Amino acid sequence: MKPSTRIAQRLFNITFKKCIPLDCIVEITSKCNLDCIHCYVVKKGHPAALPTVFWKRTFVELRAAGCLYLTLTGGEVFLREDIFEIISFARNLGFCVTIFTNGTLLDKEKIKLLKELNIYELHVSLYSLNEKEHNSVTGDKRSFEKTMKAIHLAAENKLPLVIKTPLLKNNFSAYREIARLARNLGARYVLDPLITPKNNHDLSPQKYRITTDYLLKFYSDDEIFKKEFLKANSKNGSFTCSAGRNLISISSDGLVYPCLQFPVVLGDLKKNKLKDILSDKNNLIVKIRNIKPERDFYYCYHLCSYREFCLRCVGVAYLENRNIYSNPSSCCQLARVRKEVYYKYTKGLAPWEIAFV
Amino acid sequence: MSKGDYIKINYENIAYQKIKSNTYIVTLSDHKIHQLDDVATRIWELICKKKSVDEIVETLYNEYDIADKDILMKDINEFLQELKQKNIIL
Repeated sequence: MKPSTRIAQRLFNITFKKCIPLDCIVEITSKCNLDCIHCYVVKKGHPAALPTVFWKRTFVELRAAGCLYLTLTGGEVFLREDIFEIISFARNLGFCVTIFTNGTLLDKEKIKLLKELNIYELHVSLYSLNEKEHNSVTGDKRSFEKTMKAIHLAAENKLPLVIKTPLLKNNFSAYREIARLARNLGARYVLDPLITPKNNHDLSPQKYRITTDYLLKFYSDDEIFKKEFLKANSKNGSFTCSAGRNLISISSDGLVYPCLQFPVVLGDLKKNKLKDILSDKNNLIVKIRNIKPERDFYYCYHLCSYREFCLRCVGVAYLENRNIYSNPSSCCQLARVRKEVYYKYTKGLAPWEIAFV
Repeated sequence: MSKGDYIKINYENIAYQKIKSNTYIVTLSDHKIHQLDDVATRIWELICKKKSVDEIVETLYNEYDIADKDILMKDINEFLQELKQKNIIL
């Protein structure tokens, strides 16, 4: 048998080429008990959740389509009373199950059940170790206490824990302390400076996006960020995107998207079979799969001086400008800063010199 | 493992999927991914169908152009040993 990383790369390449949905992110509910300021989910007045049987049928279809990695997200997944039945069903089918949660509804018993179900990872969002700061993001005065309790319970029970922090103007100073907490608890830590618009193109979450100065501080932080990871692409930028190829998403109302951040409706699982939605007869998915960065993102791919540092996202372009071929300003901002930090720290260049690189 | 026994998969510790002719198994205890080629995938399918070691040997002997049954038995046992070491079967 070959080393794990090479196998994972090979699996990614095969499924990407053959358009097999290896990864699926399922928004199992849109209901949430928190009201985070930056959340991309559009509140739909909490329509009736799709029944357990719908998700079971969908998981069977996903399995047949070749899915291995199943991520359950929300809303808040633990608001569903049938969540453990759903996770258990998915595990029995052979899925590698990851769960995204705010942690506020987790107690000792639920953590124990998750441990027994052998989930792949439990991702918990934490915005600050300062109670007031965290709660000001979530809009709930008791959320910090509950989330911290869940994090400690998960760590004590040796659940594969991931602590996640979206970087906002409101919590920028918090990430170092959270990183230390994660290290002490043996958890993986994920930081994300990219704040996307809401799924209905509402740009309001972006007002919480950190400024360029903060981004410079973040990417310059040796304790957190290794400079060699600043380069995202080869010289000719690849901008490879899995959306609609080996990644798909399903919304809480059964709509299939290429990615949760790219909410173009490919089909409706309440009316159609997954295999039909993903088939070559679906013109929309074919169009998305046929996106060629070198042709369709001509400026970004061939001309932009930040291209090596750019994590260009089709979904963000779509959400920001309603046009997948447009340049997403959030990605441009990140790429500019990544390039500046890279050349400053690896070549000792000043900002004005970097402009000519 | 006795030749007549069926092999117990450690379902609690794995997630798996067949992609084209290969099977990919994730072991949840160490988050590693393992790849089974087409022949190993065939053995895996037989294990999933609760076939015994003897039945697996017999099936492969009939399906593939194998001259020596003893060598086949040895190879299958080595493969099963590897699966056991990786905590994929019990």
